[in-house]
Amino acid sequence: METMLSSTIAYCPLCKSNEFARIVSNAQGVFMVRQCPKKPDNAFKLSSSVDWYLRRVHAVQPVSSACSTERKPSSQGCPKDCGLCEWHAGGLHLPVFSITNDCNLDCPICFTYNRPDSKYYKPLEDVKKIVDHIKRENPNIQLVNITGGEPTLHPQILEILQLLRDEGIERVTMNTNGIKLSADREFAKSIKASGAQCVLSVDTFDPQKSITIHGKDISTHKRKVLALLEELDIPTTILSVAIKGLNEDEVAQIVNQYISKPFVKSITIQNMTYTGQNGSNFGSHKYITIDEVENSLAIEDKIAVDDFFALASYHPLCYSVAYYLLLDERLIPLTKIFDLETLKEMSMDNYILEPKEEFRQKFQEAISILWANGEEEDVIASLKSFIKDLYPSDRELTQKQREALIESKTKMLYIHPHMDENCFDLGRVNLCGDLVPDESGDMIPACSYNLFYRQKDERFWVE
Amino acid sequence: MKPKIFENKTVLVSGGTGYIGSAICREFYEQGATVWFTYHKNSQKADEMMAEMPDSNALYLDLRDTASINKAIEKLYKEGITIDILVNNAAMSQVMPLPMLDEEDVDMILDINIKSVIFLTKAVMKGMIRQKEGAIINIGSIAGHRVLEVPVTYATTKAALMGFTTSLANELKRFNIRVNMVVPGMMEEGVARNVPEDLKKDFTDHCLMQRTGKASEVAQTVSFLASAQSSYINAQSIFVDGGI
Repeated sequence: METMLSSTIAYCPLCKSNEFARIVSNAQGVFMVRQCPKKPDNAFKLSSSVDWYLRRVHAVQPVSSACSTERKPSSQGCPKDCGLCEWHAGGLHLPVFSITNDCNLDCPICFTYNRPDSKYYKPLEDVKKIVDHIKRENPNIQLVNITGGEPTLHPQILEILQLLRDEGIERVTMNTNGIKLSADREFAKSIKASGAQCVLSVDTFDPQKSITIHGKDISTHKRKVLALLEELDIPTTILSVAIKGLNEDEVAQIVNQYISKPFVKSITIQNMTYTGQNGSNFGSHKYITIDEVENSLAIEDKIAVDDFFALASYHPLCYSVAYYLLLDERLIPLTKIFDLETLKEMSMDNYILEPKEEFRQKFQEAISILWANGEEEDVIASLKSFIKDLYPSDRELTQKQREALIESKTKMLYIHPHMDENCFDLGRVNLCGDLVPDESGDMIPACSYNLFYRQKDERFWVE
Repeated sequence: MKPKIFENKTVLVSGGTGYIGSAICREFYEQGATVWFTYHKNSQKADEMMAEMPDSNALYLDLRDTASINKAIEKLYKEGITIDILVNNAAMSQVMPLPMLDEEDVDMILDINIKSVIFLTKAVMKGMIRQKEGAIINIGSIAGHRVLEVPVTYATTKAALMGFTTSLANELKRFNIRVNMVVPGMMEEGVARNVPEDLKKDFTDHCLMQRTGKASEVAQTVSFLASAQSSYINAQSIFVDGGI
């Protein structure tokens, strides 16, 4: 029996237009069913568990207050008015922009467009314009992500990183496949010196799967660059694409293997989306849902399904997040310490959990409750030891040092399904906070950008 | 007959067999509370109190033994008992000039007047945090706040209770637990029995009320601070000293 849960506006890959969709549940899970006369039976699976969907997606979700002052009027309707239009409900939390179309790989899973015939490297002055644009949109922004192509191939990559630092962006993250880093130790040291954080794609260590995913075997490079990042203690996010039936088990192993490593600050798991110059034609278009990823990660004692919750300010189907404190080599999920409401409040308008001063009050309250409710003694002992480190009796720490210490003990695990045409949902894109700014003054939700805009930008693609 | 405003409330009074402690027990008992009190040496008085206040509960406790404090309170939790009101009343004093004090003398008074207060409170507030409600009243002394001819160690510990009261009130504010202190002046009995007559007279001469205080007057203030009538009073020290 099918149950109607809600409705939304989806996108039809055949008609190339928006269309009505029902969200329904049955014994197999929750599905988005598009009302397309050309292809009537096209259910897209949103979750395997109806209970999970009702708890996660039908829950109260705080919406961002960090909105722009400049919005374009909406004339053609979403997603055609991007820029942002006046209807966009999300704030800017993660600005992400490409600084080059140059890449030293041609991965079959690549969900973006990069023309190899005409290399493009974003000029420094355009980066500066983008930063100004970002600051106008969200003056409190602390985080900028640069991507490509392969950003390390930009001849002025170090100048760009320096510019972003000089502009007061505290956390600059740079996507990379790691090939240049693994080959050039001095370059890696320069990246370390820049203060940037590497977002390293790691999908597999299996040579055969690496060929399937990356077009050639780069598994050795991956091991080498991970060792180098660890040796140089370069703060790193591991970015893994989970492909149903191919590497989802290995992704779970990678997460469990690396989450406790000091140099790894966070891990992001993206589901495979079938779009872009290569990704559109990859594999058999199987999708993995958030709840399936959560379940797949709980293979050891480290990570549990209950650790995850929907990231505030985003649509619940866009980000599932787990925050941890790594104390005495033990991961303590923040869902164990804080109630969900407090966690969402603390992560509101933020992609990352920032240990601001109000954290102290909430932390103190939370550990009192944990203690009163009879939490395990070793957890209490670890928390006590952490507090001793934060407030040592034999020296003084500045607030910045304290925040750095908290951050060094904090681990973030994101499950972040992108959208392709098959699962595009205007409800999700409307709340998107991962925005692609352009020097022209546009600001486009990342999935809309990848699906509808990038291939129209001749710097990146020519039809 | 007093109104039973503490019906369904459980109070624990440390040092319940003393002059002020027994008065506090009596006050809460008369107002309908389930009374628990600790005693150490005076078992005869404990028996008398239980005879006087049927259904009240005496708890033998060596307050210098932190493990036994924890054990006793854990036992209450296991029996489904949560303390709603804690009165940290137990204290000792030793008339002795500083040159005569050995380390063990100081340890003794710090253990009973400070350390046991901290650990009894810690054990009891666990249940209060769980139920997000509670009241804690510490019994201080005028000796901790005025220039009086009192033992240095006693004055030190009673002054320390003020810091304990205010900082604990701050820490527990988020759990709807209020922490206050009652500061008695010169009492008719109790510790005051050891005070020489000339000093007692000096005190009453300078006291606006021209007399020593009664334990019941302290007890009434304590019960007020434990009641909903004082719901906006927190982190305060209320002096019950006749005006000095």
